[in-house]
Amino acid sequence: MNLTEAIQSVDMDKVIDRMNAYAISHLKSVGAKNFNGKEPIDFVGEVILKVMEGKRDWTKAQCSFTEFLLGCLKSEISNFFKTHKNIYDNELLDIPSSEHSSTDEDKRNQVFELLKQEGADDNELLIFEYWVDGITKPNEIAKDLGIEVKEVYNIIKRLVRRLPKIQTQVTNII
Amino acid sequence: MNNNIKSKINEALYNFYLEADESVINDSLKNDIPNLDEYNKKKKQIIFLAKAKAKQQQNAYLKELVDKFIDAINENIEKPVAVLKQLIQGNPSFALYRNLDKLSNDDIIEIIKDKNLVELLEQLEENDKSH
Repeated sequence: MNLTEAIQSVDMDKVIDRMNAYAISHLKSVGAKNFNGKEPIDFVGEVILKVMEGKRDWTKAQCSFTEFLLGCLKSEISNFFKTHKNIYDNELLDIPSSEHSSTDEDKRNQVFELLKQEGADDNELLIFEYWVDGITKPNEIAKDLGIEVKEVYNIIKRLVRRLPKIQTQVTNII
Repeated sequence: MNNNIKSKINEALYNFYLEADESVINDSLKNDIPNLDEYNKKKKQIIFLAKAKAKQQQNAYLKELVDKFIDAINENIEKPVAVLKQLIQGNPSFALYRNLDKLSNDDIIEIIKDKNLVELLEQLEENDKSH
């Protein structure tokens, strides 16, 4: 499928909404407030243009167009933070760090404790535990728990809202 | 573990927004976008530009391929001509076409437009390299 066909095969309006929701969440989760004057939608626009200009090669992709675009966005945002590492490190270091010598298990417990302090319920903590164990797909989690995936979405929605609140401390822990 | 928790959170966010159904996405946007009009305006611009770029890219590929096929016909270069003949045979409107010299640029576009242009270009470039 070439690019023209790919772009016609999806509802770009909805794909951009999905990408933007992800960009907002990913950017918030870093804990920084300014992204070189860019809004999340600007990251989305830049990625889509790069794909359309062939700077990110869709023709070799083995996945759906939506998944490809979202994957490009993920790597674009990661690259942005790598490129501006110094700025964001400084911003995040404002909060004194502690527990530098913690073990993995300690770090995990500290993050759990922070989530609890922010009001996370048992379900949110359970989902977070799955994430930390490397099971990050809502469908897989739902299957494992024997519940509807919609329930998992609802729990993740709450968890996602809580993550930015603990992010600066988490950055110092992990 | 250092970057592990962070990368797992990133991975989980990615998977969530990839899988989540439309209502979940809409809910999260409703809460997080301060100016919906501004957002919708930017979204329209992105879609317009993306479609224009895709069309532009497609036209550039078509032009490059047409030039390569015309050159191959004129210089009687075996492999690209064979590729073109194969494509012609697969196209009912041109299946009985015998005389490649008579093909116009528009005919070639008609023959190749629905094919994977990037793959075709790669195929022809491979041939260029071997000569």
